[in-house]
Amino acid sequence: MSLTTIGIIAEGPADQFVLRNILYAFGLEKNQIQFVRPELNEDETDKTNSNEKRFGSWTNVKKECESATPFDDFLNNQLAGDKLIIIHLDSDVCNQYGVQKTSNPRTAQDFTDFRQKIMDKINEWLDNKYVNQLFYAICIKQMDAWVLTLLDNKGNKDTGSITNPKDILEDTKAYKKVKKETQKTRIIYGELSDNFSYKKKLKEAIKYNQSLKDFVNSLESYFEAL
Amino acid sequence: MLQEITIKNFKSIENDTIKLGRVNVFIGENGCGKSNILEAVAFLSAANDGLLSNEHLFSKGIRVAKPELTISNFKKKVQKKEFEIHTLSTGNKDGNKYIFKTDIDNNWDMRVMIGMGFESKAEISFMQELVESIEKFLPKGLLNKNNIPESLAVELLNKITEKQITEKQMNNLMNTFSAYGFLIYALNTPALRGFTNESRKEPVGIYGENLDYLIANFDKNELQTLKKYNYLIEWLADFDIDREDNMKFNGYKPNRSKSKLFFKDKFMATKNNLFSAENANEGVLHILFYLSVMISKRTPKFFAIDNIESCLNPHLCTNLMKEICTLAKEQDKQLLITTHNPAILDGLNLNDDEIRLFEVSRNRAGHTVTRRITVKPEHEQQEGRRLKLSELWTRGYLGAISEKY
Repeated sequence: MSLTTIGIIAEGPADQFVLRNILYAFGLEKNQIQFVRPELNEDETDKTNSNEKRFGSWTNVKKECESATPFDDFLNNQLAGDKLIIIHLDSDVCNQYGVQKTSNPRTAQDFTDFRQKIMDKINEWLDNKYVNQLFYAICIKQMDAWVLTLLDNKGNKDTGSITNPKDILEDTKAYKKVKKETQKTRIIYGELSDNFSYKKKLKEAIKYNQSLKDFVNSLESYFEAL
Repeated sequence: MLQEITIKNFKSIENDTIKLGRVNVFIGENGCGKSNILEAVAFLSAANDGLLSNEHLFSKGIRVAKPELTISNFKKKVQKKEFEIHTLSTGNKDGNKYIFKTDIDNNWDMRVMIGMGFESKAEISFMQELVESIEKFLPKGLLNKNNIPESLAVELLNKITEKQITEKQMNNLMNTFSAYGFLIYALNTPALRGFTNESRKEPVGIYGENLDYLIANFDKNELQTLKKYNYLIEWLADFDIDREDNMKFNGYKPNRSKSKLFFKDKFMATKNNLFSAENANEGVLHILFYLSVMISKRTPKFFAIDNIESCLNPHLCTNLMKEICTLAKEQDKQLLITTHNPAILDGLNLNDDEIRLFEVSRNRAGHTVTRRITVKPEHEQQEGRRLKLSELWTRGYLGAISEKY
């Protein structure tokens, strides 16, 4: 029997590494998780023309959704087995793309509603296709806010409400320690979020970020409960 | 044919089961354990030969390491004292279980439990009779019914003509012992050109030695079949063997190659279009080698090719692979192939269950794991989006790529 394969379309490679750790907690193996966008090995000629440098990564995700090509290529290619896609976006620049930011979200419902607005925008780009094969990893603020749930949750509030989670993350001991060992952002985020791959730790982490919790809950509806 | 192999505690393989077809291609990033899979099969074959000396293991293409490095040794795990290989093959549905451990002098020793999964009582009784017959030819006590060196058994069987062994019965016996004659070909150009002679394997060396000797001993049919594939090399008019080694005396081998193989170029002036293996391009030597071992009756029925793409243009890789798949069926050969070139995959028809593609990777604990890549039934593929397998690989949809860069 063929295994389920999950493709990840994300703003950047670091986001893909964090999301993969979350999938590990659901028992998926490395060879079931594939990085659809950005591709791991973009060629050097492409890199010099890279849209990523000229436009924001939201623009690229939007473009991928509107063309539908990577979705079609990954979900409908000739390979056997169930195929699903996780699509990731950070909320930080959403207002430039027609999604009105929820100002000062406080309650769990505020975060969930904000997440839903971005999901609706993605579905609009996709013309409401592939809905049953998608999971939405919407990070309110940035992916850094999700990672902070493992490192700095003393305040006991939603890390999505921290003004600049990236700065806070980069100021943690853990970040500085890993940064000394490697300059590769994807490796740094992969290591910092390694604890997401353990069910217990992930279960604890989702208490501190509603958008992470909503994402994990959506995975639980397909895979087993944590 | 070897249908299924389970490898336990061998190098990077903690516990992995692979269901094999006729042509099996393994892809994966460097160091994922592809070659370890081939080596486990080569160990199995050496065990069936009853020869586990380092020299014999090396001659099969195994990178011989000390036992502490051969038996898996993972962090936070107590190292076992042995490794195991379980096999299922056609004619032996119950399978064999081989256990390899070392003696006090660090020499490999092996115990095998043979499953007698024959289909009928008549076959079981035939098998028993056969073993008894073989025993008559051997000094008392040498032959243990649970541990028969295959090469010896086959040699002796040839002498027992009065039994009138049918081909089917012979095949059943052969298949009881998997991986007969298996070895790993890993070509290098100096060996193909006749400059080095590291491997003494007959009829051809595992690095490509003595290709001329193999071709020189082809019968008419084998040679005709081989020449059908000249089309793969655009410039190639023909090739032949210079049995008298006249080319050497006529100055065609200034670098003193031992190979007697020579080629004729299609585009050069007819009077001056000959050159020897030492002047030929690498591609033609590799192609000729692979086709020759596929076609020859003297090469093993089951073997591996490590890094088949070496020295070959991508388009040639695809066409070579296509021809190898066809030849494997025609010549009844079984192959394990590793590659790092996506173009090889485009020569595989995965709609054919005999042609199999495997992704080899390390799991989070560093254990080598193998995943068969299959395609949807053909009618469903037409509804979806078809991409070349090479494209699926380079995009990362098959896995088997490194992510550390």
